[in-house]
Amino acid sequence: MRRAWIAAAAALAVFAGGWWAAELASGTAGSDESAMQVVEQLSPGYEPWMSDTGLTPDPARERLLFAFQAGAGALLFAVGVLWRGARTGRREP
Amino acid sequence: MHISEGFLPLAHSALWTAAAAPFVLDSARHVRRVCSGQRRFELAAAGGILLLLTALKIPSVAGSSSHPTGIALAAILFGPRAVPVLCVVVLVLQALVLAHGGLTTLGANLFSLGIAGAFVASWLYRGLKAVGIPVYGACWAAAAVSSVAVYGVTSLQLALAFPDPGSGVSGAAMKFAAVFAWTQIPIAITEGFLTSAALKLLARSRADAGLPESVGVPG
Repeated sequence: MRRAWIAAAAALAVFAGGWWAAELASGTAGSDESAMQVVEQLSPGYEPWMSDTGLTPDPARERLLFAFQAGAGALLFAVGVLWRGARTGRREP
Repeated sequence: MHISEGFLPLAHSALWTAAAAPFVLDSARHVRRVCSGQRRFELAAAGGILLLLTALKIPSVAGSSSHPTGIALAAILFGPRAVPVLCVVVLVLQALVLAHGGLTTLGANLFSLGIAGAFVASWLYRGLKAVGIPVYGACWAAAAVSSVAVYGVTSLQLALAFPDPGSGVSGAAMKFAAVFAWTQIPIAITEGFLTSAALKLLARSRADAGLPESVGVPG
């Protein structure tokens, strides 16, 4: 039970941290977008032949989704670390 | 490392997809073989770090932002062959839910992140360890250098598709690399520390057993 709480707390903390980082980054130009601008300079008039195939979230929802992904990653990492440690038990020093 | 949907010409998209596909099939077989017992938890941890780090949009110098790559831990723990299948999951998720990358550029993005980056991380880690660099130092370097290498390969992929009219592929590659380098190098240095910390946490989680001998982390 204690491990589950630790994993949940880690996921929540990373979710909040990821959201905060995304908020900080929201006023900046992403390097991926900057590279696409170089494409437009090198090949003026190039039009992407396919538009986004999935959802295109608005910026606020995008930040939230990235934070969710980070939180899910933290949860998975915590589960891996904590449950791995519990399989045979740690040897006390 | 996310080339946006439709930004590579059709022929390039098809070629990168064809180049990446055998690695993904091999990776799925490899993961099924190595992933049993304790190693399932290590795979979960490595996949978690990949999911976590690729979701962090971090502001960097010069008013720009980018993502860490998160591949090094999986490459160090399981070898580069395990990484492509993990990256497919993350890249498809981001293409469909976050409009980052795309399905038409999945092969190219997978090749830079899950194949080239993973091999750089794994080879560098093993090479540095072989010459006596401490485990966590080697881990830091492998994560940092592979993070930059991913963006180097992305630059080359874009340059092959859009060569500079004057200076050709090499000139275009330098232009793309210049866009990525200023942002990515500080993030790569940070990623090295985060990956080393993750490896340390994982190694300490079962002090009686440590990690597999191939990783070389003391228990």
